[in-house]
Amino acid sequence: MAHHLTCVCRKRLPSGFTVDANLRIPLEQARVTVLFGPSGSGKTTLLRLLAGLDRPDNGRIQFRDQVWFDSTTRVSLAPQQRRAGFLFQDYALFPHLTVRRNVEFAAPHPGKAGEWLSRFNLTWLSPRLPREISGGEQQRVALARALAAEPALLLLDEPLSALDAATRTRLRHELRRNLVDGDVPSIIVTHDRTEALALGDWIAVLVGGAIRQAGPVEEVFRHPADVQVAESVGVENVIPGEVIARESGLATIRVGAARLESVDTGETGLVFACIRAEEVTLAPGAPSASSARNRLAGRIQSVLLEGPVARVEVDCGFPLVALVTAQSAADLQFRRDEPVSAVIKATSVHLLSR
Amino acid sequence: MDWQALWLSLRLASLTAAILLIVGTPLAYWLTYSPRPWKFLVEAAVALPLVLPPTVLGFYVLLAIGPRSPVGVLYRTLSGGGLLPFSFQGLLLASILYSLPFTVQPITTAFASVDRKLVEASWCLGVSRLSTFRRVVVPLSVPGIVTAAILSFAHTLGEFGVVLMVGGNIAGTTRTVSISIYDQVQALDYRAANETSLFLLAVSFSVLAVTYALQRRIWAVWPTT
Repeated sequence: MAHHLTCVCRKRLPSGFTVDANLRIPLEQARVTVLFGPSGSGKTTLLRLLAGLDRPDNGRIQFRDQVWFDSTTRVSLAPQQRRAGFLFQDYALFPHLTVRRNVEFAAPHPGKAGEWLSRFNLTWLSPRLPREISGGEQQRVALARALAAEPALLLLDEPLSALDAATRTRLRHELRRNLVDGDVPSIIVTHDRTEALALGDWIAVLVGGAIRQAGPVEEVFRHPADVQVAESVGVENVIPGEVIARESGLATIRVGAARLESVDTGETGLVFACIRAEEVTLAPGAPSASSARNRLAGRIQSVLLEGPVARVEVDCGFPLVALVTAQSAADLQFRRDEPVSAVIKATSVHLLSR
Repeated sequence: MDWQALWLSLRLASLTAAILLIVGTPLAYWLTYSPRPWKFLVEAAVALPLVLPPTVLGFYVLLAIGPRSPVGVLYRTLSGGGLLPFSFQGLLLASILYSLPFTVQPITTAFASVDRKLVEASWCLGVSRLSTFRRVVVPLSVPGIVTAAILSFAHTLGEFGVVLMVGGNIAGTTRTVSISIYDQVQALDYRAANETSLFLLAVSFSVLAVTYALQRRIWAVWPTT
């Protein structure tokens, strides 16, 4: 119990929309949790309930050993007592205070603030006002301000959405590094699947106000619990690996004993290789020559018919999901334990650094 | 010129503005942030002096502070036999009520225009409600607060009907500058009336000009968006 955030609560909004969330996050495993879902699925509402900015109609929220809200015992801690730092979409920096004063705002002593300023490379911006610095810098200030207050939990509402596309991509990795460095469990709201993959260890998928699935990122992407989750996550294969070589426009990724090749887009080190299941072609028997760069030998683990398509799970050193037509699956006699080769074009492998 | 009346008016206006800031700020805070559905009644009551004839307000204040009224009795006990009607203190009380909307409304508007997210951000940083008010809401509302103080000062400086009803016309105690002008006109002393009026006009214009100039500067330094 001690290392979990549990939230079972209902809240009906004036619009009639109801958030009915049942969530349990193991804080040890999930340093960064992504609260993922389409727009209007209740993500921000849930985040505000956790922060104590809104009150659930009923339910219970417990963080580690501390009950934050319980409608049966009428416990409802104020935001100040929860110490859950909140990063607003537009950062909500105090416009009348300099960068330094913003970070010092709730720091236990100025030295603490100075530490975070230099850690986030903000010291040179200290005397500026928030409106005099860029969006990316504002985000760092907001994060430094929240962390300097020594929060028990950090809540981030679409922290990258206020930035332009190029900055967003650049700051994704920086944000994750800063969050992991900050050593405070964080929950990030996003509707962007790339962001979810790049930022989270753990993911909770919210659809229509309810948590449909929660678990480690790769697992949720690989085994969506239902059609709606599958639709919202969109990528079936999220394979952790490491870039070991970059040559003539191609990157080689080591995944256990296997190797994948992708178009080199500049990622290095630890990555997720993302492959949509319909981009994987299966052929019976051992791999034969083809123009595709990735030809992997494996064995069929399972074949699941979903209407006109078959979802085939193959073990080729790592689990790989392929979507083929039910007709092909029948014609080629795909069955459990049959040897197959999986063929994937290098252009279908998308890398996300970790 | 009636320097005594002028000095009394300035004293009355400054004290009224100062007390109104102390009373009006929490009231404005409550009006901005209270979730009570009936707060529109309080809003209406605060705005009453804007539309009520000063004589009506003066009449009720006079009744309310009379020696046999609860307020009158309380004041007599506290001050050891003092009376509120036709005294400077009574006049001050009436002025506070009369200028209340001129303080409360600009401050309420200023508080309401402070982005709610800034307040919530401060709460989530663990900063108490009172401290958040002091460190976020008030600094961002400075233009509104300055406007409120100046408007109540200027409004009190120019009041006439309420003064006549509650204070009467006692030199050095309740004879304000506007009453003095009225007296001068009644006595057909147009020269003195002209002098005092011109002086008052100059003071009022300067005060307002300084306010607007100051506001512009403050807005340029602290944008609220």
